[in-house]
Amino acid sequence: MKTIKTITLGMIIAISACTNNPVISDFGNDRVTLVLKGTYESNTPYGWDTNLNTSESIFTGYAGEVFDTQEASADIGFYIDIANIRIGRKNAVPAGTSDLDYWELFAENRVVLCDSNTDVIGNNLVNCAYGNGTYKLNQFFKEGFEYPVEDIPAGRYQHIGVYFRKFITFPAVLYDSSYNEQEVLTSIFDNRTVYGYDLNSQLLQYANSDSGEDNPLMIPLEATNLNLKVTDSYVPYVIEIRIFIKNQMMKHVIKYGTNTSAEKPLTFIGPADWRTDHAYSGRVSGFHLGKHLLMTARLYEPDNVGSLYITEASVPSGTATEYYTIVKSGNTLTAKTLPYAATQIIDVGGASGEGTITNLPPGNYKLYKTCDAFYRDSTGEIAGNDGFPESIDDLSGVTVTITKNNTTTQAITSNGTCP
Amino acid sequence: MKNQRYLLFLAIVAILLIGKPLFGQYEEKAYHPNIRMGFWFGPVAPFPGTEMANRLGTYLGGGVFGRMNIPAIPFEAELGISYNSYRSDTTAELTTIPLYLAILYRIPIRSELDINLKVGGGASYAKNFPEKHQNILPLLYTGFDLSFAAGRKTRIGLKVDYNLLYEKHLDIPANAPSDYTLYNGHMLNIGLMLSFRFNND
Repeated sequence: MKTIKTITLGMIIAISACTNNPVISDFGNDRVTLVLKGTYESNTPYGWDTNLNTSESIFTGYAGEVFDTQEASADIGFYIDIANIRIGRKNAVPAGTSDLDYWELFAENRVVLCDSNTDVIGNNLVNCAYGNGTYKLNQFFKEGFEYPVEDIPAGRYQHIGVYFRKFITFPAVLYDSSYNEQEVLTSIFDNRTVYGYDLNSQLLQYANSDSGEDNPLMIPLEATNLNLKVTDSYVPYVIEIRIFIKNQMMKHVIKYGTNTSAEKPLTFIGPADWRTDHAYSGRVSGFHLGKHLLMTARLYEPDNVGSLYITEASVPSGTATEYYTIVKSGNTLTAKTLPYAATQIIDVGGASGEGTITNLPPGNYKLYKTCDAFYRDSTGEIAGNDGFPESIDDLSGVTVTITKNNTTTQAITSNGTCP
Repeated sequence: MKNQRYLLFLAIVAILLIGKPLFGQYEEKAYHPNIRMGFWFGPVAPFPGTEMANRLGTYLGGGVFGRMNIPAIPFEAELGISYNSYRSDTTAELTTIPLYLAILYRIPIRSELDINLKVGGGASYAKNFPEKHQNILPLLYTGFDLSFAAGRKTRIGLKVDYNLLYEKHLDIPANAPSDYTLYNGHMLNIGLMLSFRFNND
């Protein structure tokens, strides 16, 4: 009898504890959308710039030789294999904490981005075909693609890491000692052979810095000062990750071989050497491109955003070398970081330009114009182009206020840093 | 006319149920509760093919149960509670503590192997991660188990349970987006079980 009383009491307590919170349904109703973009711009990215930038060493190293330096951007291709994407609350994994304890593995699925669905002899790349790899690569360089993702606990997040398995670019051509094309290099992707060169190990190593050679920089490719705030509610939100790849790719040449007598030129496509000079002659360090890819991420709730419309009465270039960019008020844009958001400058004729940045959470922002006016060689920065917009025009300190569901219009005047 | 047929049908069923003591030549035993207690543990997972199965993987669950005869022979009653943690490689995780009362029917085949069919219901506590939402949900319980005797007082077996965590009766939360969809939880719990008998009959 006592047992029955206890059970009855337990059931009464249980029923009175009922709330209206769905528990199971939360699994079928994701709040978060993860968008991955391969562009500097967060809005309306430029198309592919017509000509590919070339490493200066392609001229100085093998001056007068036969390398095709005028490769069109449209002719280059990518095979990218992303293992997973993780998010963390601090700037780095604290000492004594295991990776698994630190990271929230919120995007565990592998995603492949493919230039084509077939390998060199016409076999199907299975994961590319079934995973829509060619479509995703195309979207990656336009408005971004949606990465499959799970919700994360409420809180503030500083750190996102993108784990790459493969980062293959093509064409990569090996020349013989008479500078004739000898071999088009291939790599393994999706268990088959594709044309291209896997840059993953190159991107793992600091350029021109022997002491840092073994430091992993590509795994993960990370951003550590993001300050993404996930609220404890049902409001849907978007996390947008941008990795600056499009229009900063460059054709490099290096000496390839194990000793001086066997050295042959190799040309390959990789990120521009905007941070440190990519020395064609260094058999070891010439390959090292670590930290030449940048990424950032931002979070917004689509129901709580405004837009910024920028107009400028000057002569815009209309090419992929100039951008309108913003950072959150209180931050300063530096040459070695990506801005919070950016857009291409649209030439509207009459010597004026405009640009629109959407999906901005309400608040104050600082406006900048950035442009690519330099490239780097062993002596430092020289006027020219490498694709990376390192020049920053602060527009004499323009600050804008964004409000919900409104488009703020801001006219700007260049201070002369950028044309 | 329809009512008469129905009554006839009921009468036949009644005669079949009580007929054995009427027509048979055996001694009716007095009712005895014959209480058994047991525990189980084993893999628990969302039912394959459901929305949850894409999110959560297989993990270990376990529970305790008690069984007794009830006067309505050949049925028995089972009361049980368990703790199930459905985890995944990602941030998603679900913990449930179902409490159920079920009616058992033992398939009347003379064999070393007992086969019980079960159906019942109750309530289940549920908590999800990472949202940390929790609630007590109505539970529909059904399943079967196979067991054989290992000595006079012990039985070893395998149980397969299906738990339906009913959630579609809830309202969409006030501040949720309008396309928020309600789902029920379909869970498959499989376990090795060990049960003990406490009386001497």
